Amino acid sequence: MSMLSMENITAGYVEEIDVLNDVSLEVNERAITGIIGANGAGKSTILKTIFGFLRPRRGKIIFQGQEIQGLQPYQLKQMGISYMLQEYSTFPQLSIQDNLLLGAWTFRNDKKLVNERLSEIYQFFPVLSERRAEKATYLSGGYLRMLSVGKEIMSKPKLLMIDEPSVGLAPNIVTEIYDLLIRVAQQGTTILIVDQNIMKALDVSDYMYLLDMGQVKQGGPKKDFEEDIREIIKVSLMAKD
Amino acid sequence: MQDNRYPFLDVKNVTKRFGGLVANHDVSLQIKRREIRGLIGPNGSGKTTLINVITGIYEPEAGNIYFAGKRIDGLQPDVIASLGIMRTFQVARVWRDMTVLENMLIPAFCEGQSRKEAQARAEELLEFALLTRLKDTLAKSLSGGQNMLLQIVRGFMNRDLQLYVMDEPFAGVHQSIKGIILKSIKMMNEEKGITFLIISHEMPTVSTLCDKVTVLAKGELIAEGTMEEVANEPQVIDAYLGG
Repeated sequence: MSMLSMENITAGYVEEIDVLNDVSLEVNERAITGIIGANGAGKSTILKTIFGFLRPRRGKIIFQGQEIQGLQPYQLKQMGISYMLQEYSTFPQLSIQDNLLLGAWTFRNDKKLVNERLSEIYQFFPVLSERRAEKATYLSGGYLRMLSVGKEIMSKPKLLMIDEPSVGLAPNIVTEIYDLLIRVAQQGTTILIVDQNIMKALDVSDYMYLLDMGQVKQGGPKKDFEEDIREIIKVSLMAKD
Repeated sequence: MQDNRYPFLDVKNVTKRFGGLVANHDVSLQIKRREIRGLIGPNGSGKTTLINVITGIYEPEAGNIYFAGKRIDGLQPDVIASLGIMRTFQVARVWRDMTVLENMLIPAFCEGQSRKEAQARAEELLEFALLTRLKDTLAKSLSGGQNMLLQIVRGFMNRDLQLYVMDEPFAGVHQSIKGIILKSIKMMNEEKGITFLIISHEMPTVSTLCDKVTVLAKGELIAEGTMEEVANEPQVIDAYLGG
């Protein structure tokens, strides 16, 4: 069942340049959907548009039956959408625990719930529990990404959107991060992931979309991509104007 | 004067490191005079580093670079520019508080062209780029695409331009501006014999524009040939798959 759908979305940052051109896609509930494509294809722009950082010029975005295009990021967060940016979005001078608590900002007055969530996160990521008093600045890139995920899932989002989870990480850490995302999905969170690492995206996703120059070139269940992923890449390399 | 005894640009076994990261490892590439060469590869493959090494922003840890038979590695960027190598940046670098025309005149003054000669040349190029109506506008008021176009035509102000190195010249620009950029590259190549080395992620454009492409992945040169040839190389597909 669809949790979120983009219908004919056209969006861009400056006048007359459409970074997304008539993009339609579906994000199914309790599944991982991966968006792949070259640099500049518009992958991150999809997430920014869903999260209200960019207002679409045309088209609709529907989240659980409600139109959400034009809503502000804080409203979307309250509705259950979380967005993990490609850049580190943790606060280096705050402790790990304080960073996690910021993820609970929207319900900060409900201390009981905050503590419940915090202990869930610590069970989920024991290493964060062990180092809870340390400042985030002392964490390595992989742990920082883990902390970012922890911070985002503190609010138990219905939909977690992640931009390039593996960028800048060592290969063994990359594997850990993807394993972590699978565990998050298994707990019932729907995930929309944008990735340049096509093989990793293919490994973890249930559904995939290939984006090229702001348009969806192909979309569907993972098996449609698995069978001829090399051919898909070859064709995209050989495309003519 | 054409001299084909040696490659026009000859990059020999270049290695460039940043701490433990090897951004370019033993890269060798030769470009012929009048060629339009594409440089492609996934993000982080070392493309921009390589052109930074060629244009003197970085000095390589190992290897040499020869341009028209003269060794240029280790020379300062301005010296390299004076030899006829210009470059553009992925995010257009223009003097934001100068007008479009003033931006155009700077390279000409650097090489000692007279005001009259420089102005005439600048106006001709601005006319070609359809920027004449904006010549007295401050660069900071232009759109990203117009700044990219300005950055590109400004490079043509160098009278001795022989090799033009471009970093993502088509990224984020409007189709109409992209058309002008493409036209300027083709015209300068055909009429003035200028050689181009162009980084781009826009495969269809690279495929149509470039005679040959060089593919980098994880800092190494992994393939070279026409777009069709490299697209059939398994290691190129692997590189784009990530893995």
